[in-house]
Amino acid sequence: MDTATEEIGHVEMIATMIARLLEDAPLAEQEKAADDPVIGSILGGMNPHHAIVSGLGAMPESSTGVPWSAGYIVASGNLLADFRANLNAESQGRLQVARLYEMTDDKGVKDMLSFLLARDTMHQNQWLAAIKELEAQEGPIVPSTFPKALEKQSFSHKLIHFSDGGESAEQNWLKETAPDGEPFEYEKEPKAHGEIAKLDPVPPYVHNTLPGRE
Amino acid sequence: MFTHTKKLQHPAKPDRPDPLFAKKMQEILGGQYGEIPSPCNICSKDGIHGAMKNIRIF
Repeated sequence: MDTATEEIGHVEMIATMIARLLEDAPLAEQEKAADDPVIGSILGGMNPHHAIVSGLGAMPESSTGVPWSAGYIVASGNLLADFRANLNAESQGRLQVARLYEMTDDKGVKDMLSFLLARDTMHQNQWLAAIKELEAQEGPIVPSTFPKALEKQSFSHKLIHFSDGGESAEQNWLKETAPDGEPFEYEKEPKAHGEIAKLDPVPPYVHNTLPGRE
Repeated sequence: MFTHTKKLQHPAKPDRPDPLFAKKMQEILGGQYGEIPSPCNICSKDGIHGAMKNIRIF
């Protein structure tokens, strides 16, 4: 919970920074564009939500105004699956902070972003270390507990050639043992293992287009 | 349990206001990979951390 609690603090820091970046914004933009300071700021390119909804404070939304969604949360009950999601989140997050760093000359903003870059380095390191520890215990494939006998194992290590050319057969990793310890295989000609899919007509009360009229 | 300290973890003072950069910075707060989901992700897992003897609780 150290990291979770720290990141609540990061929400606080970034929200404070956003609020300070918005200070005096309507008045500063007033001369440029319009008599109404709010309209002036919006014409100047600021987020209308900052002017109209939050009263010059941060909003729980992305840079394009997409509201934050609880659907972004990954919590499956399988730690290896979740730690990999956390590692991705820290990787995407640090990438975005690095890009923001390149987009401003403000020394105060850069100073805070350089702190966030460092903490995201630590957080990537810690998730990588925890993933390594779990993989040592249970192997790299999630979930490790599903019985192998119930999986169609002839497909488990096969790279199937679905593209033009033969470059895919030349990949170095293909010549090595797979991370789970089995050898990789290569299928040059992809096979259709099923039959032509033929669906029965739906009941008339659904009012789809009648068969033969498509 | 959480406790709160009024001081920020790191200073957050821009040299000057910049409403356009404020808009861009929203991404690392409320975007998909912003700071809001991180504590939610980790808190949601806390219940099962106890089952793992060798994994430290982050």
